[in-house]
This record gives sequence, C-alpha cells and structure tokens, in this order.
Amino acid sequence: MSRMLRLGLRLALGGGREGLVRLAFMAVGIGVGVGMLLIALAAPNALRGRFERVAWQDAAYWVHYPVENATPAMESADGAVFLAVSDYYDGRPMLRSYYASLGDDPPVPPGLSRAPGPGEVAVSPALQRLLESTPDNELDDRFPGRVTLTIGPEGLSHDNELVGIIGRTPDQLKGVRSVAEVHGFTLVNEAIGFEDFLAFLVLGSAVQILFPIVILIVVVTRVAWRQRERRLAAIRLVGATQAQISVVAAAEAGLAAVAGAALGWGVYEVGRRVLAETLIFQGGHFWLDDVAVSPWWLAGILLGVPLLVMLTTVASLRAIHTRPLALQQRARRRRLSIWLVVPLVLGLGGQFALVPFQDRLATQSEDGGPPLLAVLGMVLTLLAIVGFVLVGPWLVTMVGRGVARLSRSVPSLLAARRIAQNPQATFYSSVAVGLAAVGLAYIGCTVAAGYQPDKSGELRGYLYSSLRPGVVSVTTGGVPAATVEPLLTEGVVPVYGRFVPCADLARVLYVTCPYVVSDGAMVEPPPGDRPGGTVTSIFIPTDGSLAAEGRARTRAANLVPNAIINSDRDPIDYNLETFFQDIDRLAAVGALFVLIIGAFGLATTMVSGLIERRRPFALLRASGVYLSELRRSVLLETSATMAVVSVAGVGLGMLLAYASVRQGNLNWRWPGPDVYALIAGGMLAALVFSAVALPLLNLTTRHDAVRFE
Amino acid sequence: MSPILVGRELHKSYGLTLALRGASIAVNEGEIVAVMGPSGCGKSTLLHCLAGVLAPDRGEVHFNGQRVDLIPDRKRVGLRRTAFGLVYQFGQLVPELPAIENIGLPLLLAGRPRRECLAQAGEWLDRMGLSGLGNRLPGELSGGQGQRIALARALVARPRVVFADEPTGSLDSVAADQVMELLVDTARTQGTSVLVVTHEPRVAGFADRTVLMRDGVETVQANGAGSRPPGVESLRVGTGATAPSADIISWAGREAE
Repeated sequence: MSRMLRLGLRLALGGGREGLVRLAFMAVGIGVGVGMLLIALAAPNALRGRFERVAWQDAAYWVHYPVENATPAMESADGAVFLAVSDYYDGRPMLRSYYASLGDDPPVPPGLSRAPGPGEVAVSPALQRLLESTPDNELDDRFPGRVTLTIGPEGLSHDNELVGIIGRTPDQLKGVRSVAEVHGFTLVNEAIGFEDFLAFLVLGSAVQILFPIVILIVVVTRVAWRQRERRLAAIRLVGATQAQISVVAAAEAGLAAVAGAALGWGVYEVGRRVLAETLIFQGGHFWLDDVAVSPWWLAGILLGVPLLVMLTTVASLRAIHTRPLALQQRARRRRLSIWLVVPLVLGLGGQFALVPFQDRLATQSEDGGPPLLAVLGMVLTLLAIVGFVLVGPWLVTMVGRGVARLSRSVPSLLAARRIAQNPQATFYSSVAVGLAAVGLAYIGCTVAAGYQPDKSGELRGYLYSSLRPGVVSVTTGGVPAATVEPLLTEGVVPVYGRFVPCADLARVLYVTCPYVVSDGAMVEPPPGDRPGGTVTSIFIPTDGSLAAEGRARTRAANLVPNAIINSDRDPIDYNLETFFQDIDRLAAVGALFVLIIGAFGLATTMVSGLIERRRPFALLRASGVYLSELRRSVLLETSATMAVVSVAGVGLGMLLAYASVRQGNLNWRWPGPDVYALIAGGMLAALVFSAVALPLLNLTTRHDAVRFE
Repeated sequence: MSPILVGRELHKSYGLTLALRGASIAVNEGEIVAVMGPSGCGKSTLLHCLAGVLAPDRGEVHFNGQRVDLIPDRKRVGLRRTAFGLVYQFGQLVPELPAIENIGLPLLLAGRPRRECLAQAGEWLDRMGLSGLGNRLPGELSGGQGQRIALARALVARPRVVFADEPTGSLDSVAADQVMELLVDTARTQGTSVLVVTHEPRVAGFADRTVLMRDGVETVQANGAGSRPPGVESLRVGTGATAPSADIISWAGREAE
C-alpha cells in the first residue's frame, strides 16, 4: 500500500515539466473551486451576522409584539427601560435609542462594556465623527448628555452605522410611548421576518453557486485523464491489482487536491477580506468576522474536498478496465432521454401554477419564517435549475448538429462536430456562465418589476411620502397638545386626531383639495369647529436648509422621543430602494463569483480538450490547417456553446422572474439595457479569460506531437 | 525525368540529438519512393523536412523548382494544403468528424462548396471500398478502414506529392497490403509522387525505388520492384550500408540525379 502510494506520488511529481504543469493546473482549479465554495458558504453567515449584531435594537418591539422564539433572552433580573427610534441626518439613517437601567445589574446592549447611566451617551464611531462636525442644535442636542461610551462592532451592523444610546432615569422615560421593559438584548431566533427571507434568498443563491463549483472541481480533476489512465493501464498490465492502481490514482489526484485545498484556503482568506472591505450592503461594509464559515465547516471542506476528489477518481476507474495496449470504457455514455426534461417542466410549470394561489400562500408563517410561497418558489426555482443542467447537453447537441449541417468552413465544422459529439463536456464548460445568466436575468427582471416608485403625488396613508421641500413631519403616535406646544408656532400645521383642514395640509404636502382618502387617515374638520385634543402629526415648514431642518428635528426629538421625524431630504422609499439596490449589488457579486468559476471552467475544458486532441490537431496542422483556423475552431466551440447556454439561461431566468412577478401581483417590466450589458460583458470577460489557454494550442500541436503523445 | 521534390544536404538536430546529417534525396514526378532504415535513423525527420512540416537547420528543399525551406511558415502550410497529402501511422483522423467529412476536409479547406466536398468524398469512400461507412466516426472503424479513410483524405485534393509515414505500421499484413495497393494504384492513376517511410520490406516492395538510411544520412538507393505482388521480398535490409540485393544501383551517392 505505502509502496503504491509512493509510486503514485512519484508518477505525479516525476512526469516532467508537462506533468507538473498539469498538476499545478489541477491544483489551481481545485483551489479556485474550494475558495469560491468557502466564500459562497460564508455569504449566509455574513448576512446572519449583520442582522444578529443589530437585533438588540428591536428588543422593545418584540416585547410589545411577542412572537414565539423571537423574544430577547433573559439576561438580567433587574431589567431596563428601552426605546429605539429611527432617525435621519442629511438623508443618512440613524438610530436614536433611550436606555434606563432598573437596578444594579441591568442588561447591557451589545457592543458596550457597561450600561450607560443617566446623563451618559454611548455612540458609534461614525456618529461620534458626525457629532464633532455638526452644530449642537442641529444634531448633538438630539443626544443630550455626555458621550462617555463607544459602541463596538458587536452592536453595529457596519462601521458606518449611526447609532446613539441616551442614558436616562426610569422616571424620565415614564409616559413615553413605545418604551418597553427589557431583560436582555440577545434575540433567541437567528433572523426575523424580512431578514429571514433575505437570508433564505442568499442561501438559495449559494446553493445555485454550488453547482458550477462542483462541476469545476470535477472537470479539473478530469484534465488529461486519458493519459493518466493509460499509464495506470500500463501498470495494471504488468500485474498490479485493481486496488493497487486505485491507490496510485488516488495518490496522484490527492496530491493535486491537497495542494488545491490549501490554495483554496488562501483564496478564501483573501476573498473574504476583499468582500468585507468592498461590498456595501444596507449602507455599509460587512464585518470581516461575519464573512466567514465556522471552523468546523472550514475543516470539513478542506479535508472533504480532497477526500471527495480521491474517491471520485477511484470510482471513475471502476468504469474502465484494461485490455492489452488499451483501455476500455465499461459503461456506455448515458443517452440523452426525453425524461431529462421533466425537472425543468415541473420547476417552471410549478412556478406558474402558484400564481393563482399567491394570496393564500404569501402570508408569513406563524413562527416568523418565510411565507410558504417563498419556500415553494425557491424549491421550484432550484428544480428548474437542476432541469436546466440536465437538459443542457441535449440542447447543445441539437445546436451542434444543426451548425455542423450548415457549416461551410473547417473551423465551424470542427467546432460543431465537437459540440455535438461531446455535449456533456461542452455544456459543463459553460454551465457556470449559463447559471450566472439565469441569476442575472431573474434578478434584473424582478428588480425592474418590483422597484416602481410611486411618483403620482396622491395622498397616501403615509403622509411623509408626499412632503413639500423643507417641511419636517413629526409623527407622534398621539401626544397631548401641551407636550408639543413649543413646536406649534406660526405656520406649523398640526393634525389633531384625524382632523386637519385641507387648505393647511396643502401648504406642507402635495395634495389637491378637497382630498379624498380611501383609508380615512385624514378628515376635514367640520366647519366652525375648532379641533383640539391629541396631536398625532405636526408639519413644520422650514427654509429647506439642512441646518433649519436639523434644528426642527432636534427640538421635536427632545419633546417627543418616540416620534418618527422625516423630511423630503430623507430617502422616503429608503427601505424599498436600498433593498433593491442591495439585491442588485448582491446579485452582481454572486454573478461575478459564478463568472469567475465559469471562466475557470471554460479554460479548464479548453485545456482538457487541447490535451485530448493534441495529436489530431498536430496532424491537421501538418496537413495544412493554419494555426489560426484551429484557434478559431477552439474559440468557436467555446463561444458558441456559451452563447447558446447563456441565451437559454436568460430565457429561463426571465420565465422564472415573470412567474415571481405575477406571484407578487406586480406589473411586468422588461429590464433595462444595463442588465443585458452586464450579462454580455460577463460572457465576454469569461471568454477572454478562458482564451489564456489558447497559447497552449500552438505549444501542444507542434511537430513533436505528430509522432509522440 | 526531372525531380519534383529534391532535398539536398539536409541537417536537422533536436537539441543534442542529430537526426539528419547531410541527407539528400530526389523524387521524380509520379515516382513512388520508399525510405527505409532502423528506428531513429532520421527517416521521419527527412519526410517532415521535405513536406515543410519542419525547417531543416541546413540544406535545401526544392519543390517544383521552389525553395521550400526558405519560404515563411504560413506559405509552407499553404503548400501542404494544396500540393501535398500526408498519411500517418494512426490518429490522424479528427475523432469528432464522421468518415465522409474527414475525407472532405482538404476540399473544405480549399474553399470548395460543402455539397461538392461531400459528393467527392463519397466517391472516394466507394473507391476505398468503404461504401456505407461514411457516417461512422473514426472510433467506430477498424484500423484498416481508418487508414483507408486517411488515404482518401490525403489523395482527395489531388496533391502532387503524398508523404506517408509508416502508413501500415499499425495494420496486419492483409490490411497493410490493401492500403498500399490503394495508395500505389491511385498515385499511378493521378500521377502523384509518393514518398513512403517504412521499416517493412514488404511495404517498400511497392515502391519504384528504395532509399536506405542510417544515422541521419541516406546510404543506399535501390530499384524496387514497383507494385511487386505482395509476398515477394524485394529488398532485404540489413543495417544500412549492407544492402545485399542485386537491385542496388548506386552506392554512397548523396543524390540520385
């Protein structure tokens, strides 16, 4: 056994320059695959980390609206009074929170070494910088007290987040709406609601990325397999047993796989740092600690991939057996069957079949998990993608045959016949690019349909969505008029309960009088009746400057801490807009990943094809075929397959997106030219990258290949 | 008769290995010449230098009065495409192309219409006795059938010279005779010159003339029987200079003018 192991290692390392290059090529391919695999698996963790770090901000919310498994864990018997309010400064989202401990051992918000006492303020580093650069009455006064604590990464979603915690006494927070007594800040469940759905989406995308990675690793380990197996056959012919050649083969493949896994670790470490520093999601970068897989996963992948490579190498040997001077394939290639189309039809058909039931299936599950529609949609999408991978070889066979029949030149004939004769290999070389096309088309179409901001100016339930420039709206939730008396100066428009004169409202909102509001949010007061009582909203006109707005906001925040304060400077559709921007960005990063894998896949297949056809190509050159013609043939073979697979991928992505859009009751919109440009650019980049293998064509088909292989 | 192909004082080395050390040869129009010699004596290198696949380090190669060794590589490729045909021992067929398209390849390269290429390739299939096998892939053909396809491919564009490097090396004697008979018959019909490299006296027996090589230089030239019936030994080859046959016509000449 150890002797055969040594022999295997010697064969792998002693194969001359060509053997070492092959070994290095395999190691690099596996390295890229392992690195991408680790990064893909780290993506859901990054997102989960992002949400877990800021889950403490919702602690009061979950006390008011408890959901099973979503309430904060009990960390302190004493507890604290807590309130977190969304705020903005110059369009930047900000979190202003209030904290009052109820004893000596209160729960401490993550990122703090201790709880802030009355008169103390804890701020994030980004807010600290902002406070230092702005006048007190525009921002600082919104955080009354002395800044004594800095919130660390444990309590921040990203390093640019604006967060402040104002220390108060329990009495100071008495009577403030929405405050809650909390006994802990660590939420039990990992992700909630919208975030859960997003994590689910990323996990689904990671699964989609796994396909091309696995295919890349398999393709790479099959580089020049015929030459390797011929060598093994020679060893078998001199008396080695099947078990012995399995050990030799496993040792050879294992060496490349171990080197590849080590390289992959390096790719992962570099890649996650690059992503953490460059990728912006929801307004900030990811923390490096979050862009990571657990040590167990890391160890599992780094050990598992080489083991898997060795096992598949040994398993593939079972399919061949040696005859004198030759190898024979034990099993015939799997024939392309009509049944392969079933998963694609089921996946795609299922998506469209869900459309009539979208109302019933779209409600969120009781445990806070994603709606059944989303789960079914994801499963059916994955099924359609599996179907795409299964049907792909048949598709390229048909295209290859068609082109071969029409070929007028040698390069196109060679390329078309190669595609038709070797559909699996040619399809798998392009499958990653095809899957990237599916993803980009899907995201492009759903984003185009989903992000349709309402610019009609109609009065809606959310009054701040139609604010005139310079107007600051203060939504109090209902406070006595006396509380906000200092704000009610000349020109200010208060809403008492649901009553506000339309003429007044028209000065601060884009609204046509008399207004009709379907949800009954606003009512014209009866003539001659003077409104009074609880103030629910206040509209404060300013000169529109940032300073004036800042002062108005600060005054309002100090009078009504729980008030939601807005102006037209704030991104009104912030959540929706950034959600789609973030999805777009994530999709682009995901597609970039898949394209990198795709480019390696293309290059690997090209190299493999060149090594495999070294002698026929060299003999064609000797017989008068120009190198440029061979080059054209190889490029055509790659680009034609990629084009067909990508177009099919775009088609599938659009069909899936159309079904999703219909499920979401949205209007269909064709994606903009940027989406098509991104797909075409990605394809071109992958092709250009794969072309690095072309110089090999000249090297491998020189004169010596005519006689020796 | 003037020679169509001439190699003079050809030298070629691969690193420290000297493959050709002043070899000379001439092939007349329509003549079939066999080059024989032990393994490693440089006969394949000589063939490749003459065919323009390799550029000699020194010496001259003339084809139809033109210096082949001096023209740029692209022109040499063009020459091989239009005027030469090549046949090798194995592996020359494109594995993905069916037999008929393999045969038609040189015509397609010449820019002829596809339909015409395939029609002509079909005729060659018949001539090679392979009717009905046009859609088979090379992997689905026997060794002899594959070599006949290769032969048809080398001859289909009516080249002036066919270079055959051990064309029967991987065949049994019956199949080898079939291939050689087809090669010789077709060459004679078309007036094509043939330079065949072989180490089999049986194959050399089909040639008009045999050149013996040893250590990178031709040593003996002998008249062959030319289409002599298979089974009759035309030339016994020893180790280079000891060619004992009465067919020997000249010794140690660097050229046979």
